[in-house]
Amino acid sequence: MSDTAPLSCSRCKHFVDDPHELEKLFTGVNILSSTYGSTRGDSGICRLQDTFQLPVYVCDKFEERS
Amino acid sequence: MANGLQQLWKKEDWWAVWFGLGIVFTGLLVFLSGSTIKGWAVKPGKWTDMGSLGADIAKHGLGYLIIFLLFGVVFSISIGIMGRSVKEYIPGFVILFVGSLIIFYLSASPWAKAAHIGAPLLALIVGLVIGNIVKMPEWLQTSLRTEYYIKTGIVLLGATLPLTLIWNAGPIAFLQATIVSVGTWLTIYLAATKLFGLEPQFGAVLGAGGAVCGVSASIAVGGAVKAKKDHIAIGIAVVSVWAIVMILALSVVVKFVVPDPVSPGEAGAWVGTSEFADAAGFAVVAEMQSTLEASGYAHPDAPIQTFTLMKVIGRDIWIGIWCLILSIVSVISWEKGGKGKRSVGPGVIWERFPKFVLGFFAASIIMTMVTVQLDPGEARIASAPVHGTYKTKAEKIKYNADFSTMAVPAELADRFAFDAEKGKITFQGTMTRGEYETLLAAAGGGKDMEGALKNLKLKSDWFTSVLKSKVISPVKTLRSWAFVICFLCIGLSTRFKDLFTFGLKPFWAFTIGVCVNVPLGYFLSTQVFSEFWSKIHELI
Repeated sequence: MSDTAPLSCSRCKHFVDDPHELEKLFTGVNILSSTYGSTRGDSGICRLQDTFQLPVYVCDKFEERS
Repeated sequence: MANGLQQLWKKEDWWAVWFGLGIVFTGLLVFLSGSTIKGWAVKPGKWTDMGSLGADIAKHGLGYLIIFLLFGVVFSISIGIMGRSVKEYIPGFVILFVGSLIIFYLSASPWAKAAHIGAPLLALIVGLVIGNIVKMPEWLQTSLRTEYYIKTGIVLLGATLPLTLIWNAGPIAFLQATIVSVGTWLTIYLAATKLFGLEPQFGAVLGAGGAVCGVSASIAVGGAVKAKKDHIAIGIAVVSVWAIVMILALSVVVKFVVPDPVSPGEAGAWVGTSEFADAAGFAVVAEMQSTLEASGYAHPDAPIQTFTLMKVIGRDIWIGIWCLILSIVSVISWEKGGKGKRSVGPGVIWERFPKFVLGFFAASIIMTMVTVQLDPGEARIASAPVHGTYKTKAEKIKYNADFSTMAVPAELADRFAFDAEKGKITFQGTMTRGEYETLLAAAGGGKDMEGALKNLKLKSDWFTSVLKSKVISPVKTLRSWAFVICFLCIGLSTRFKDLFTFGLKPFWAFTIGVCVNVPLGYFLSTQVFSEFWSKIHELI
């Protein structure tokens, strides 16, 4: 990930896009699918809004990952 | 998070491509060096008692070890690179491999043959029973990678599907799949939003699961429309439950209606439009294939071929388009007043594209090119013994022929010959059906002549007798391993108690979609495009 990327979800500490974490949060996802596949891309969960979304959003709650 | 080039080693789609194509290239290189991988690319044969079982294990033991090491090493390394624990993966893989081997042997037993049950369905049922009685330990979850195994199997499948078939049948598959996909999505979406008052994003997630590629589509569309986390979780559960139910229901139904009145090709197309996930659909058609193979049907691959055309080419590869369209609709209509700003462009089509399909196409192109380049055509002289056995999956003839008095027709005199000294007959070039019939009539007919000439005809076909036998069939065997491991995974990872956490509204919305999807897929496959699907083998 480039440091020049916009301050969107992909760099936010409230955004969960780790496939292993997502697998734990979505019960049964690995029965017939996978969080490691191309179709998920880089989508993840925003813990603040409780939404599953693309990592392209910009909002005033952004906090950079350490 | 995996970006750009990192996707090539951080996403399982790409690993399936590398592994699948690696096997195809290995098979071809060994073939070009004058040998074949079929010595070790093996699976259990039929057995009737403990003696024949022991003999088969002794015969194939080394092959099993090589397959175990090959699969085990590649999967372990790739799982490690993708960030999971190799230490947890290895014992899980050992269980899966040994479990699959036992299932292969059970399915080759006289009892399974009598019950008409193949390895795919047996793997699923055994997995479901164990998975719902015993809670799987956490470490085993690391090896239960259904999607990775099925994607690897699909790439290998590409090597057995000629490009000509994809080219000729692709447009019809796309047309039928589009009719069913759009119809199913609209039905589920409208039922969810208008009938049950669910949020539009939720309806879109459920609709995509039924219309495109199951749980993967729900996840892809869910991300594109910014669905609620819980809606994705419910979508995953509803789609998974229905997909498993459909595996069992369709597997039973096709056992009664295939090959008559529904042809295997039509049945494969139907499953391709009416199953919700690749792995689930492959479980049905692989089971159908194993049953057809056991009964000696002439084209046992037909259901897998038509299913793949319909599901992979007709539905899966368009997931990016669905994401783009629904993302635009979401921004314009569903997210008014939502938090944050964003921009989603056409790039999402490539981002969401299931990359393993590229491996599937590449394998098909490579094998088609090899066939075109290496087939010696009319220059090749094939021979068959006058005493021997003609054996295919569909037929077996023991023969003892005598061609000494045969008057060879003038038009074939320079291509057909009988060598009494060596006890063989020869034919230059590939023998057509018409040429076979002419020779059989000239030889006076009879079972012995038929057996010898059929054997010669088979051997004159370079693709079938050489390339298929030495490269494609072993690749198909390795594909069967990937599939059975996958189906066992589906069973072991399905715990119904954990899945039934959804409310009735999303369940019924999806169920209404199933009620439209299944009969519509059946009608299109067996009525509208019946002629096309039932004769799919003629397009190869």
